[in-house]
Amino acid sequence: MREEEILHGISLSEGVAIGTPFFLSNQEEETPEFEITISEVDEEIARYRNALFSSKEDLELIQCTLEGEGSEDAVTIIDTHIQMLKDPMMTVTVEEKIRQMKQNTEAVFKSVITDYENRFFSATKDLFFQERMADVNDLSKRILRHLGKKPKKAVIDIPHNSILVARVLTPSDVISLPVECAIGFITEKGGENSHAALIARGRGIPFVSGIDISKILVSPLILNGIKGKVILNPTSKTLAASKKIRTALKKQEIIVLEKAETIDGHKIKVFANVGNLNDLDLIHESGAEGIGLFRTEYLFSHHVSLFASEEEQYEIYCKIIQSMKGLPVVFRVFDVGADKYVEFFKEPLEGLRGIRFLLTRREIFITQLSALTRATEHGDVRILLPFISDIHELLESKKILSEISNKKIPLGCMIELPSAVLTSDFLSKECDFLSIGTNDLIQYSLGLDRASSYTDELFQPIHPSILRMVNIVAGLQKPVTICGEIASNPLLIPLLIGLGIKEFSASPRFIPAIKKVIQNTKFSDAQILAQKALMLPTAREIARLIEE
Amino acid sequence: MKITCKVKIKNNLGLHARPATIIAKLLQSVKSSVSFTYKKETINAKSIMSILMLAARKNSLITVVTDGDDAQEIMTKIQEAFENKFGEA
Repeated sequence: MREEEILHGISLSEGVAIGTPFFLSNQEEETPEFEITISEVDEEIARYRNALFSSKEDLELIQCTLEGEGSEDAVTIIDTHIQMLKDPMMTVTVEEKIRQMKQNTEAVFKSVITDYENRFFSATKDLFFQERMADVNDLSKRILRHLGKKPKKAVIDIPHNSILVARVLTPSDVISLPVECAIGFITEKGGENSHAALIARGRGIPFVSGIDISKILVSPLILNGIKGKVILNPTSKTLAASKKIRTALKKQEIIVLEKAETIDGHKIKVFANVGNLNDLDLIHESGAEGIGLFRTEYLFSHHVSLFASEEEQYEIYCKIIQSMKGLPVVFRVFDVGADKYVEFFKEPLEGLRGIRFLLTRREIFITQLSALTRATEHGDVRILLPFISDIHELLESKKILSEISNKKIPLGCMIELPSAVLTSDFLSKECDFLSIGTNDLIQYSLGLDRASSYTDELFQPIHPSILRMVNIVAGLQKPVTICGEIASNPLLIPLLIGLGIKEFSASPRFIPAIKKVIQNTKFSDAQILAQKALMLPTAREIARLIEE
Repeated sequence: MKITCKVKIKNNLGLHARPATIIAKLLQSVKSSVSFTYKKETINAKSIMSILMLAARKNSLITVVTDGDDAQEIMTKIQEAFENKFGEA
């Protein structure tokens, strides 16, 4: 057993986080360098202009999201990045150099930035101003990414409850990480005035820098952003003390506890998305009206969830249900993804995602359903089936459930595949509720692979196809909840309400903000907004409409 | 027409990212050339990255040169922006 160890750094953003470190590599991608011929110059310049344009599009959409979150400081930072894209150094200088040097754009661009960096640091000895180089580097990375053949995802998928550890973090890193996943930041470098720190403060995510990250191992740690320290191998006593501080801090954040209702008296329900037991205390404080999505695969560590005995599962489900004191809990049965858990199975899992996996490995499905059925004694339990693509999967699951128990337990389908949207009228007749999972729906509708740029995803929620699909499902005579990341974007809430969504499920920490938006929305206005949005052919125009 | 004028930085944080962004936006569609000189370094004021390189703190004096048809108009706007502390404290 290793002893508790405290690393001291500087606090960049207050708050306390308890989680597992996730290491983010700062390694730069190798960029090609080669000579070009005179005839290729124009093509290279066109390629560069396209990269600048795509970068601008990225930034404008990030800005749109940030405005919705009300983070004014962060909006200003992105504004600076957008202005930098128009800087003569970024436009005229790079183009001139491509003509002069007759090298590919990446090589020329990098030499211009390196040249700037050298001049910048020799001219600027002031630490406060030196921080701004981080913004230039951040923007450069974005441009280089767009110059690449297939834009890489800015940030990889990270597990829930991760504390991000990196040498440095750029503002884009901090912005693009989903708040549910990244609960804290630890870096070696970066000062109080870094824009990454500013954004973290705006979002209320603890951040400590000046830490020797080589000392951090992959085991749970405490990040204390108030005192600027990182506690490795915390004792149970330290852990308990930190949890207390964390709860006290979160209590201060509660703003809105009243019911969510629009100005013209339309009632909207807001539920919580939960993936672990630690979040249970937060739910009541956040003002959620129940759990709209409990991701059961995250309950036990890793693959253990799937093999936990009925008794083990029953106990944990009871604990969750009892803590909700009669409020509904929607348990989504184990959602095994294409990437999750694969290593634990000897046979290949190709294509066996969500419900398909459970119908193939029935013993796992039956154990979970049995535990859930027994747990219904203690409260309002609902069961949600992931990754439904065909009504047969629903009917088969119903049959299995009816063989386990004759209790009437509400059963719902995740609508996260285009096939489910287009057959949602059939599905809705055979189940009790529907839950739209926008993250997968966007990925599968727009044909994105996992390598697509994260920042692009900010654009996708309002793609006309997605709005139309939400509109189809919301129009059915069944309760429909929306539970993807789209539901935690305050800017999009009025639009979704206008499309007919009456239930939202989001991470507890977003709930007060979501309720506030609902209380400031007029249902009749939202309907007009939605009707207008449905008529627009591009996400760009829809974004503009929302901004107005 | 060429105009030269000295302006003082009055906002607490100096010419950091936000003021530099405001200046760059202000000069975006301006025809005249505009330069800032500070500590012997002269830069193109339409370039936000160059403004940041000056690392000019509060109370620094910047020499502003505007040259072109709208030189006077632009100079007035720049003076106003510095005077208003770029809307900051």
